[in-house]
Amino acid sequence: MEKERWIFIFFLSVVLFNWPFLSIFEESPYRYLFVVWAIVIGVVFFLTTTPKTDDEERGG
Amino acid sequence: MFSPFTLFLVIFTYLVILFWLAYYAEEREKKGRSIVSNPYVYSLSLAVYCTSWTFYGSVGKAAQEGLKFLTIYIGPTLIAILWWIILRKMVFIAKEHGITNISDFIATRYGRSLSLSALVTVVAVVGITPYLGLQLKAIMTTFSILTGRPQGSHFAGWIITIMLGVFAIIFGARRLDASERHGGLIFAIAFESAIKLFAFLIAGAFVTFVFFDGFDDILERLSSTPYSYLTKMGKDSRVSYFEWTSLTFLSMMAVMLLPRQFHVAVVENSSAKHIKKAMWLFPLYLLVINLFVLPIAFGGIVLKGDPSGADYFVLTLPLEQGYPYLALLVFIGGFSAATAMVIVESLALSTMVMNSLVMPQLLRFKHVRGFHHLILTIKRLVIIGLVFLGYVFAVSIGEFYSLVDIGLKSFEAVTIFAPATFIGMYWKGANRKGAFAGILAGFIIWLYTLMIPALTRAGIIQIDGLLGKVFHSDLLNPTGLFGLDGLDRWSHSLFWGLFFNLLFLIGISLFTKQNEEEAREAFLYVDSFVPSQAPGFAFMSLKEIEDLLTQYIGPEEASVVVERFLNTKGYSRESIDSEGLEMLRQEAMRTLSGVVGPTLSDLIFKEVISLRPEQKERFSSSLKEISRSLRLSRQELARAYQELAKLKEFSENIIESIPLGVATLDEKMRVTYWNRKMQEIIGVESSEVLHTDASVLFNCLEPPIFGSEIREGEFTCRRGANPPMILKGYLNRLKGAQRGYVLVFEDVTEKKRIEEELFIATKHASVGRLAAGVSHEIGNPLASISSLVQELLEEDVSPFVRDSLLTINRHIERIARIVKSLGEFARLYPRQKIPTNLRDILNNTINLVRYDKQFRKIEIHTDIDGDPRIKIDPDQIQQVFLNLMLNARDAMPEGGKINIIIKEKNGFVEMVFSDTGHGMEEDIKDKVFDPFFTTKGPFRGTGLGLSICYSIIKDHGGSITIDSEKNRGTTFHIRIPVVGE
Repeated sequence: MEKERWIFIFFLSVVLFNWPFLSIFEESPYRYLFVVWAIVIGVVFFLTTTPKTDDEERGG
Repeated sequence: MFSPFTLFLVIFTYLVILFWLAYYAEEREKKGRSIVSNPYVYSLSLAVYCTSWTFYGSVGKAAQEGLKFLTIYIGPTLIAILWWIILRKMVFIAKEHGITNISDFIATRYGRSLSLSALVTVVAVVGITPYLGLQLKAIMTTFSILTGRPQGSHFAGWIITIMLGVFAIIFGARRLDASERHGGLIFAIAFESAIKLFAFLIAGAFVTFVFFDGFDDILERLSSTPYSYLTKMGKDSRVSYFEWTSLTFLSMMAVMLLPRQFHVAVVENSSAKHIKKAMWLFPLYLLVINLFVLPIAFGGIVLKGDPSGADYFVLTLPLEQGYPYLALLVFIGGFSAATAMVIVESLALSTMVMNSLVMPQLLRFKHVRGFHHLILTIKRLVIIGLVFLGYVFAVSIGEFYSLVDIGLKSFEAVTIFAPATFIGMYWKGANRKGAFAGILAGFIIWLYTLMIPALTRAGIIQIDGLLGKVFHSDLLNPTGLFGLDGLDRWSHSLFWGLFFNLLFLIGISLFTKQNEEEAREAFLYVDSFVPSQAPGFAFMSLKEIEDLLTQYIGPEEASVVVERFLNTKGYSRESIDSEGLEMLRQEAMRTLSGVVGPTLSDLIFKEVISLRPEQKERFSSSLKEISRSLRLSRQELARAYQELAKLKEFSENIIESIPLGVATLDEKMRVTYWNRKMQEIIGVESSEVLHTDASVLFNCLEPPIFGSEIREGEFTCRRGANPPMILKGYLNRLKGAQRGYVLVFEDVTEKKRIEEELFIATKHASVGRLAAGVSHEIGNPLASISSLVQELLEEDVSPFVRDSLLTINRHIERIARIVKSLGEFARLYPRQKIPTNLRDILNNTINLVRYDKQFRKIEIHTDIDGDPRIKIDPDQIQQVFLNLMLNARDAMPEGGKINIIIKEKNGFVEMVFSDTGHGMEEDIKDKVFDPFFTTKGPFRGTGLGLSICYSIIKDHGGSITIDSEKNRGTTFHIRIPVVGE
């Protein structure tokens, strides 16, 4: 499951950092970008520090 | 302003500190107290990604084009999310193959192809040398700004280039073992990452909070300038979403595939666990270093009035605002960013050049004395050469471009490797021809769509005449290839490059075949990354391995490698066995692949283990002999296997077809086999019972077969409402090598029933013969006695004699009744079966008993379904009905009920006679059909009533059974088949 989890977060982040989300914040996108950036780092931090799951030791 | 001497002194001091740190880290590592092998140093070393382009160029890009610069850092943040999947796999693969650079990584996947490795190296050198030049350009420009002497910057650049080249050699090419991690270098790089972050944050904080009143103040003042569009995206800005996505993708690829990134992330990785921490630490570094880019860029525009010279705002703003020492700190930060990149990139590129281009040519001189010195010298020259190539670029054409332009061209160049690298890691079908064609196509597109326009703009090449017509045509315009207009140059080049790259890689791979080596490596890369199997014998001795290493890396390094291996694995030079030698050979191969690349390392070892002609001949004949005997053995084995398979099939057929339930159990009484008959007996499929506890499956047995002494005998299995099943079975230990038990059951229910019936029938037959004899022998004299008594009674006799004669006559009648019954039982009279209505017979019988006074206390209920007609002897069946009703009467002296049900079902007429009498014991029930068995005493019953019923019903091809329970009444079930008219 871990592999799928990382892929999901990756694609979600790609979407958040691109159109059309950016167009919603066209007038002051820098605040949006830095906040989303920090959130993504936070999520990765959270997931890498939570206890191991089933197939964690199996790489891609 | 600072004097050039002061700056040189600062630079030199900084480099000495760096070298001391590297030396210290290496010493600590040698003592086993590493300060390098931790996720923090690893993450900081990854920040070598942030070069002078980040330090100076990001501000320039932000001042020119707004937020676009952020894509260069958002891309790595995004791809870092997948590092646990992709980067970890790359690290595993690289460690196992002793891979030390990106060209070897790609070439090894495609069958250790030297041509592919060379192509990747050429692309990397051509694509990245400008990037090296960019760093030198940044150092030279900032040096000029700080000294205020632009005219001397080329000389300063020359000196700095030499210094950086020498430091790159000191850090990376002091000895020949590229596969060994450079702990010192990595620590120095991590330190530089910390310095550049610190310097940039201090400068940013100064600009934001000292020169201005915070970021909001800067934004407010910017809004009154013509550059307010820089804070926006979309139509009112210079940031198109398409370009944004392309740049993000480019930076995602660059952070994985730039040679220096591959070096720090893959080659220098000491633990896969470090990747997990770097997945958020590295993006965090990128976030923090970008916090003040916008304030510095916008602040610079506000202060200077326009964005010209914005590439160096971070340096010029403190200088112009009267903070020279802050500017010096910024210079050191920028210098850190540039030197880290130059050292690691030149080292990584030099390894690629050596392995892919130089060593294949150099191998012919391998027997020259001091060959390893030759390799080392050439590697050092390559490093210096690469740094100077960058310098040449910086002073010749670098001036025409911004820092960002140069960097992005390099990003586009390394993105050419992405399809071959990543598709090769996850698709086994990708082959060398496809990868080569894809990379070549990508490189041509890169040159045509990015480099030629750049060189044209710089005036280095002139495009006129026929070439001019081609370049300005709709179809072949380098900035609008095949008529594709409207895209920015990065997206345009990326699209066509990736299109042709993927087209050739996938297309050619689908239509051409891999060779064996490629297929093997593809399997290792894609599927399971298992360590190679060590064979049980070694081709090389320890001395041969050490000598071979000495030839390429020198005696001292070779000795270190061998001793380190022996110490780690617990061998000594004398005690090492063949398995140890094979492991040492693999270790030596890995070490050598660091020097000459995995492809050549493989070739060198193959060459060493090749045999002399006479050895080859001997070996060949032995091999032939072995192969002949193996062939014979294989044929015999195949035959034996066939026989065995037949035998197995034969045994299985027997076991499956025998009418016995067979099961095998293991030592813990769990089922291991269960044949078809056992399925029928127990009613459970064999697939459901495997490994199930047998005592649970056979819990219906009485007495239990498990857990008691009984291992063989007759068992009754009672399950729910089903009739009980009688099984004959035994449990025994398996013999021979097999362990466990065999359990065999035979269903003897039907057999038991037939045996019982046969027993009764035999008994009836013998009694019948006896009864016939008795009836005949007694009947005739009795008839004479009876007629004589009748005659005497008609005579005039005394009262005593008359009374006596009457008594005799009563007894004679009784004997006659018995004799008649015996005759009935023995079926002395011929029977005639005619179609008869059972309702009529039953009604006649009831009418007959109705006059018996004892029946007055008995209620008779009848339930006759329809009008059942069957072919019977009506007198005999009436006899049966009468006998059953008289028996019921005798069982109910105080009165009660008789229920009679008659119905036709499934080709039989079923008759049920039940009473509410006193019933009978189990042992009596079993004997009621026996002749002369009676419970009524000698004067009331002959003991033949039910025997006669039994005989009559059997004579009609039917059956009669009894259910009875003490004090609960008795029920007789009669079934007679309906036969045709």
